[in-house]
Amino acid sequence: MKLKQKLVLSLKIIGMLWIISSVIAMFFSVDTDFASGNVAVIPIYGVITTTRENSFSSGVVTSDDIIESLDKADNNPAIKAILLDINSPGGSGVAADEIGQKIKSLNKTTISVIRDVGASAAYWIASTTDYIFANKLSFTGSIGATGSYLEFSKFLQEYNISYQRFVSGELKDMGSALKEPTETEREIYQKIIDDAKDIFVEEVALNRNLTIEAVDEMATGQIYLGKDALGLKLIDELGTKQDALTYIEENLNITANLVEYKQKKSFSDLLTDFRSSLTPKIGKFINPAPLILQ
Amino acid sequence: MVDLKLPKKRSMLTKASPWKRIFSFILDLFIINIFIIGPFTTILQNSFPSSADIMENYNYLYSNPDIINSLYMVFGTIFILTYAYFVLFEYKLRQTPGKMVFNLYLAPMKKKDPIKILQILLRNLAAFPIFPFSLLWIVDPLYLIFTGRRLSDVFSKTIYVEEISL
Repeated sequence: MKLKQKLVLSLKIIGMLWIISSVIAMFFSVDTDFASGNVAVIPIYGVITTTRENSFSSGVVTSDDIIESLDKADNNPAIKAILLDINSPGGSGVAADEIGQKIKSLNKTTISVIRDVGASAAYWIASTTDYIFANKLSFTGSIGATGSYLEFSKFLQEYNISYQRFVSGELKDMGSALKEPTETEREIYQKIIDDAKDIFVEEVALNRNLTIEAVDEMATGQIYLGKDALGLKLIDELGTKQDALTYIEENLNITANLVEYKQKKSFSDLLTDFRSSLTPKIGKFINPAPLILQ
Repeated sequence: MVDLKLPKKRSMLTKASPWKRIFSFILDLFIINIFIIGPFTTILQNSFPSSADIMENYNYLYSNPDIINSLYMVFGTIFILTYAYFVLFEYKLRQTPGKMVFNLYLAPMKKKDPIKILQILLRNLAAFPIFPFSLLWIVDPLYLIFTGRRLSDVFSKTIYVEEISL
């Protein structure tokens, strides 16, 4: 075989192995969220739930995933502080409590940064951290509980569809969307909601070192802008993620080196990401000239 | 063109020098490091805490079994691709790029027998860090230094030769 042929074949083999290696490495980099910095950033974006219902659930963050990330950060001796990057309207109280309990059990400094919104269950989680930053325009607070649902009984009647009720006890089908709730059911429901609110209030009061009365007064479910939340002591400081890093650097005497603990993405999220990355490329392909708006 | 009727180039094949084999292997490792291990560098760097303390790293890995599992997968892939590198080059060209530099060729022990793929697969089993192949990591270099051949050469009935001009 001539030298030129040998070189071509060698390049082909090396090229093929390099491509295979790169493709496999890309696959691994999607799945790995190993840490090499000293400040772990854990994003809490979207509605907070305990578990992901299916791989198509999008815009959801689960307590299982957050707790897994918190555990990884806690087990990593190089991580000195954990920064929760919050942009969530809230979600499940159980999920918030699970995450909150985990945060309280950590031996590391925890900081929250509320971005656009950190309300309800998301605020519950933030309140368990050592220090809370929010933008002056961030939506926060919303301390309270809701259990509202749609009820279709009149709609069904209109279409001559009846609800055949067979229950072992009076309250067994409480909350069914197919029948109007009775007065007793309404009272029970309201009590559950009020109790949940009370637990939320106690938790915030304990975490923020406020009196139960003071938090109860705020617990109308109202959202507060960051600047108002500061006055109400729901947050510690107005600031950005960068301010939070400066706070960490000053208090822990370290140079912050961020590492993001990415959460598992649902199939639907991956499709959305793919579509988002593809759309501008298709646009450029159709019209490569930049669009100038005047 | 004028035919000068020069005498034909005279050369002979002889057993490759162990030092040439070692240097050619280092060159191959250099290529493997760039093209096979290179794409995994970031993953491997990010797999360990930045702390230089060995015990801290050990404790971190010990408490994160999922990282250990992923590292097994990464190293497994690297070893398979390294094996493929040696097998493909030796099967297609009878020499790896490192051996090309030193003009070394893979040849059958008995001249009349052509080299079979099975022999090439066998002689490169040392690429796998699994018992008993991992023993070859120690035995092969020692055998090479003392006898001029790797033990894997003996098993696979192959030999590396070099062309010497007379």
